[in-house]
Amino acid sequence: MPQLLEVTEYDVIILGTGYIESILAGALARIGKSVLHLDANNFYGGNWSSLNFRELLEWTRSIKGFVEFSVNKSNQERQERQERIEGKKALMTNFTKVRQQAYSTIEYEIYPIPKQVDDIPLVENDDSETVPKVESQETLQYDQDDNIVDSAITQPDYDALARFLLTSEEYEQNDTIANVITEQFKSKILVRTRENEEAIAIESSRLAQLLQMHKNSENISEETLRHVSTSLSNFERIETLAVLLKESKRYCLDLAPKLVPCRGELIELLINSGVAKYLEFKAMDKTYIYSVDAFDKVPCSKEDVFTNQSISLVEKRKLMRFLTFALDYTNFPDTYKGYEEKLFVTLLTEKFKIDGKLLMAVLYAIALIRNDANDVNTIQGLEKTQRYLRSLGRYGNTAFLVGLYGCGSEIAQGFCRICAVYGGIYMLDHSVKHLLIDESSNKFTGLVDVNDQQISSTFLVSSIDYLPPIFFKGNECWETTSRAIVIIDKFIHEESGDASLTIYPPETVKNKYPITVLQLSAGTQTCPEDRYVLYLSTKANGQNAKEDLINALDKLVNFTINKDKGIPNPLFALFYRQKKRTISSEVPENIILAGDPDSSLDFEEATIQAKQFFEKMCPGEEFLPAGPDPDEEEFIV
Amino acid sequence: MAQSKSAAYDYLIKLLLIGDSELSFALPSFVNASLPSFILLRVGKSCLLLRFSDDSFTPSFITTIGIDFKIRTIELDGKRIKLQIWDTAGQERFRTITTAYYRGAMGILLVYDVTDERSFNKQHASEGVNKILIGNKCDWVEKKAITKEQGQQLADEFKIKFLETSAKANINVEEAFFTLARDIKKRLIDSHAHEQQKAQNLDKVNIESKSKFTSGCCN
Repeated sequence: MPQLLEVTEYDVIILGTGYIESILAGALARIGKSVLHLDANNFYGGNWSSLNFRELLEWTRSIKGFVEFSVNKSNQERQERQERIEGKKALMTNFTKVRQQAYSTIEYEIYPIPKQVDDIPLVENDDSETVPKVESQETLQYDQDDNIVDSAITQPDYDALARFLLTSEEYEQNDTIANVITEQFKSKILVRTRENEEAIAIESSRLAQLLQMHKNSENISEETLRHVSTSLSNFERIETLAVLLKESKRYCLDLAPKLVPCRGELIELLINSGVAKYLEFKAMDKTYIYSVDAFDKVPCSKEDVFTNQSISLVEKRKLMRFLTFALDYTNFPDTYKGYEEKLFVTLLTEKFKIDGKLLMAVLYAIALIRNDANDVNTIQGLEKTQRYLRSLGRYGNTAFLVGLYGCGSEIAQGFCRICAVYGGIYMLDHSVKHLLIDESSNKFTGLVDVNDQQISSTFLVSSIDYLPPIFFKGNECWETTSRAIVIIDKFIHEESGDASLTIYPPETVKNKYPITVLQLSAGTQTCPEDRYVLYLSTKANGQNAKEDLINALDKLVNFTINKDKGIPNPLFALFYRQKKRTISSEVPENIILAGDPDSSLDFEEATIQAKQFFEKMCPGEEFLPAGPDPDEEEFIV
Repeated sequence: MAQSKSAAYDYLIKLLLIGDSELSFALPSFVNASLPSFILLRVGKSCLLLRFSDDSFTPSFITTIGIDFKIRTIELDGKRIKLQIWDTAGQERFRTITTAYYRGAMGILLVYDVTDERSFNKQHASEGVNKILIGNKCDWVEKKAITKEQGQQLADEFKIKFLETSAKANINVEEAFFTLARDIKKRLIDSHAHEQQKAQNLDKVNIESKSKFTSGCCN
């Protein structure tokens, strides 16, 4: 039975529960506007979402699927065809396709879970330990708990099976191939847990897709054959996948991970609006910077500078002088006179004689420059430095907070709750078919939802994902960030606490732009005990996200099993490029387009944007004033 | 749960009211696919909340607007216990309750409407929190579709307590909240389980530190 709405007229319809849309939802409902808030996803947060492991895999597959098989001309034409509904121009939306534009070069890898010697129940003949063959390892793993393993199929047989599947004309359909692979996996993995079954299904469909892609090519290369053959015998991959699926709900993995500066737009908004009471935070209190195979702790505060052992006394003095000046730079205009338009680097090297490692630390770990330092002038650099320094001290020796249970969608949900408390109506997993535009005024008048219900509103706030494809010209130049989400089994730095930031300045790992690595532990409620999550990001530069980030990751994580016991091992790594889209064509003036996540480490720009949209829509109205305090209203018996 | 410095209360307990449709969100494994989600079953959660917190009753209460949560401090065995009772803010209607609603909850009042069989059939149990089953609107005798025995039977099945209430006639509302609070006190406070929880919360940053509000369950 469809979820029909009793009320079909609103002040504002909001599409998407991303960060900016949700702040607007809360702000608009708070001043009495009637709000209908829809999301095509069955979760909150849109492109700012925090997903559990299973949801993240599904998300990956839903976006990747389209990228690989996207050539469908007739579909495209159908979307661009215009319809008319009750005299209004009806523009068809295509959430799936438009959302996919925002992501590219998506790939994930699953790694074997490293075995401690003690973990392996010793098989009766101890010889097995000395035989380093793949099969014997599998036998070891699947033999525990009396799970019978048929080890009759040897490696060459996988080659034969791979060749058969790749060439046989009988197996043309994706489903049939997947079934053959599923049977193959099931014949080896006899433990019928729900997660094992699920992992087998996921791997089978992934391999079937891979096979299908290669089936069309004339010659099957040795490399392809080897790849398929190895995948068919890679039970460790299924084992890891099953473990991750089992602990899935304990992950909150952010698609666009960000930090909350201790002073700034967002934190004041959270406190003033009362949204803070829905959220929990911890301090991100350690920053590390990389140079030549070593990670140094970055000194930020005065105490840090004094206790830091990796910098000399002379350097400490230079740094202190600069930090003291930067915190209050507007009061000392003489100090930077003549440097205003020059590069920030020039001010640091000429005026403060800061160079080498210390210079890198100031530029990339304190001023947190995210692109090329050669694009940042003195004023911009000082502003950034000051912003960082001002954030220190408010909540202890940290400039940033991390959200518990993930960041983006937690904060978004907080604002959504405010909206709901003030009467906003929420529907998730609810898509939109058409946006209706009045041709004479070129204004948005309403929409047609998935149940063919016509709903009208004065304003539409929309994530770019819901914008009809007709608005995209195809020549847009978008800000692209390469990102990775990596699950590992150990912390990357000792004493790094619940959250730490690691920065690779440009050119340190063949990178053009600085790379940041945010590490979160179970203490932030984003992963289980004994797991750590790494979020890598950098401005896109090379061919794909993996290429942009892999060198940095390689310094932290062990990709070769048992190479070094001290280094964390990966379990899962997802690489993707995420774009912040802008629309160059004209959109009706009563449609407010809420932007995608940007490449910055915080929510500051997005928060300012949300506020500006609100002021445009409701001039003179107060932006998210505090509600009544339930504590004050307490009923006294 | 922690001893408050202000001495206004000794312990803070977070409670939730759950009606019918949101149960499928809270307990996805029990989802009944045939659930008629369009029909908004008003079991009277907000009325119960307002009766308990403000001793008021509004029969024309249509949708819950403007209630985030309500506070009432009660006394149990000489301890002042501040109950923070959260309302669903209407988000149960299309099963879109935000995750924060469930976080840190120590007790749940599962509410059904005694005059509506559908709201009764959807009550389920979940782990790790104290629960009480509430059959509301028991004053409406002529419309009664679920007997007290049926309610008790379901509660027995889940091994939870059961009460029939009426927010309108003010029957058993106090008892319902007090019973749940007493159970939670027994489980968490008297067993010192809260001290462990307190240790886990030590390094959390309270960004509203100027305010007297303490977030979640413990501070």
